[in-house]
Amino acid sequence: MKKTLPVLTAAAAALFILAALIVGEPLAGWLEIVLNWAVIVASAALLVAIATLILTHTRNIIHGKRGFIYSLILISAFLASLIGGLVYGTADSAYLRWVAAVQLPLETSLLGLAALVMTAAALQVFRNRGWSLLTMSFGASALVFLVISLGLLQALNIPLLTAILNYLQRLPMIGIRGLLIGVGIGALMMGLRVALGLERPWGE
Amino acid sequence: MNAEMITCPHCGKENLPQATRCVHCGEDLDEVFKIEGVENIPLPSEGPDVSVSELLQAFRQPDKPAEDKPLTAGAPVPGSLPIEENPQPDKPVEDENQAPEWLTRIRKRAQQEEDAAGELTRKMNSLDNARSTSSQERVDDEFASWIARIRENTRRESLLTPKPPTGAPENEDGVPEWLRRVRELQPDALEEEQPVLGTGAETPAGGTDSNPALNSEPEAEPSGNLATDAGSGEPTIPEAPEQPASDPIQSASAGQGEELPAESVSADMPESRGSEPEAEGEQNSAADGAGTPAEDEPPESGQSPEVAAVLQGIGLAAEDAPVELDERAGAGEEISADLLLLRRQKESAQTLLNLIDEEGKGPPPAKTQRPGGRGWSRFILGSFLLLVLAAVLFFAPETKPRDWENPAPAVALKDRLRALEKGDLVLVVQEYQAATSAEMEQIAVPVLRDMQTRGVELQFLTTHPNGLWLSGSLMDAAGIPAREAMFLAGGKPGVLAAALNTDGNSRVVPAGLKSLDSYALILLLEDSQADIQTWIEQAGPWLSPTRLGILASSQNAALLLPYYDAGQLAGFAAGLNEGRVLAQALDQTPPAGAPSRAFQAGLLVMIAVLLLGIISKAEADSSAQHRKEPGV
Repeated sequence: MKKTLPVLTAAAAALFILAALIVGEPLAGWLEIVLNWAVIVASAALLVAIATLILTHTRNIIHGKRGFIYSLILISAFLASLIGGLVYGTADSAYLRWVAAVQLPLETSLLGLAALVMTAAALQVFRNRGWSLLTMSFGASALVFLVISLGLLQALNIPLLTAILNYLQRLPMIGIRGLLIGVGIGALMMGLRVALGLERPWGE
Repeated sequence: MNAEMITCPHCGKENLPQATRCVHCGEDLDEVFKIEGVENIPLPSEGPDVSVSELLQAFRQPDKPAEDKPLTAGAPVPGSLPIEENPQPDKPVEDENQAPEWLTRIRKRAQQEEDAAGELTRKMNSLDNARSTSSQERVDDEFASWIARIRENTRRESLLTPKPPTGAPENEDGVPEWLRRVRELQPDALEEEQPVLGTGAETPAGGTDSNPALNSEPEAEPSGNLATDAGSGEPTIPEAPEQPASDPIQSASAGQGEELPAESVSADMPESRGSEPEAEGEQNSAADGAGTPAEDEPPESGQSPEVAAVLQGIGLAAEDAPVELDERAGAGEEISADLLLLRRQKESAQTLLNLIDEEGKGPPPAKTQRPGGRGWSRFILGSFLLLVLAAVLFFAPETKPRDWENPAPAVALKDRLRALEKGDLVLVVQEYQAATSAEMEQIAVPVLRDMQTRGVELQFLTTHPNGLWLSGSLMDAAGIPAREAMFLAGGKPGVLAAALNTDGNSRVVPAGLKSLDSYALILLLEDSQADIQTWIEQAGPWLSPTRLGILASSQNAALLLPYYDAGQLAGFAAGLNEGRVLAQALDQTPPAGAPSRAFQAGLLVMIAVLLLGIISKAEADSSAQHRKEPGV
């Protein structure tokens, strides 16, 4: 029963959503109810995740685990944001500016670090993997599209060069279409497996 | 058996004869052990400064003047009271179990002083009362079981606690290792027993005045109480092997038939009332003389099931290690073997810790001989690249193509925006992160400003909490009056519910959000492929293709084009360049600023690093080839 009930619930929900989307109006009211349930459950799951996060870091602080200072920062930032939102409201411009002033540099720094990591990987890829078809094609494509993205070549206004650049710029569309087709087929198969009980993404 | 039990005067329930406290109510059973007739003997009127040691000294020195003795004239002379040679028939000895009068008075005195010696003699008195032939065997059994239990506890503690690296059985004070551990286990008991030992040794029955006296004349003194002293304290029981005392049973039978060692210990150990099965095998040996070294043998192998379980748990039993802690020599061997095992385990643990620490670090880099002079060329090359980059960033004018090619999706979006009329309702969905807000604002601000100037009514919606606090800066940059952004919860189900909310009465969508069909245009500000797909795949099928337009970051251009080609989008502009084209098409001035230059600088850095990687690899290969073929 412990394993059967989630499978039956997932299969029933999937089949009902499919039927409601296909049939349309006769099941529209029921579909809205099911979607409401889904949104409520997702919101409750988010609250549970937040509670778990806070409890875990509070436990780290109480037990003095290694790196508990970060837990302390997290708890403090969470409480400050929560209290500020409760007191001033989420529509208060001062409160929103305060949160954005914290969030923006943090996320920008994170993105900058990701760029540095990618740069370092580009530096090491040839040294570690040597000369191969993969590395050479990677280096060539990266160089070409980086230069194209600079926009310097387009500024030259040479018709032939512009035509070549336009052709090159459409090359990624081939790959992205194949990627989208693969993603679509994969999603369809995964949906069928979940509906048939062959896949349990929620775990055993 | 019941006839031998004693009745508690407080609760009236029966207790073992050697019990000093009632096991039912916990009250003291001292009055039970009072010797009949002793109370009637008048107490000596000695001064308060006379101690028991002085009294004992007086007993041992019969030639000492009587005025030095603290006893009254009417009291019997203690010095003339050797237990065996000079029994005094005029003393009130009631039966063979009854102590002589002088001993009784000493005990009474000790009781009054309420010190540890008094506690000892009180127990002795109680034992004197309670002793009988049948109870003796039981007491002996309990004593043996108690000894075995102490050894098990000691062994268990020694196995479970870290041990000093040196496994000497005795320290410089001559205290055995096992005794030191027993004392560590019961420091409180030791603190209580230390005065008992000191005072108890001074009792006449102790026969030693002190331990030196005992050692000097181990055979001459009656050692019944000597064994009692040695065995009175729980931790001091194992010390008996150090004392060459005579057989306590013999002295007891030669004296007043007192077999004090086992009984006194049993009286001190309430938990020893219940005999244990493992102690049965050693009853006889323990009863023969509990204080001698040879009689300290634990039951059988000395390995109870509990100890065996502990050994099994730490892996000692598997290696067939000697685990017996029987005699002192054997205990030393056991300790050393145990220490060896623990040290080995510790070394294994340290090795494991080292391996864990080294995990993920990889092998140390091999030291290669680099040809001299090549480092300079690399330094010069790197410096040149950095200089070029700095020159581009700070000195070169921003690259602006004179005539951008108009990308079809951007042109299509421009046409759709131009088709908007005054009063049309446009839903702006903010779904970008703070890190890309600068780029997204550069793309979106001209479009929003254009719609604002043409009187298009704007509503802001977000599915990310980020959008709540990023909307303010976007409105400020676009010159739009501040308004509250709506929050749509639920992710994909939320978007689907909003798309299916044709009547506008759904409970999960924000109150201000109307049916998506009622909006002339839904303009998505996106930097995430997942969010783009969510809107196109969940809400797109329920919307007209002309109602969905997207302004995205540059990395999403490749993803959006297939959807545009499939007719699922009204148009899109991805990246700063297309955003600039769109702004120019809308007759808006694109905001030129740091993000455009920073974007170009970042691209230049990436190009330079990639080139450096290629060049360094080529250089390394060339060096390797030169080493292989020196003539080349």
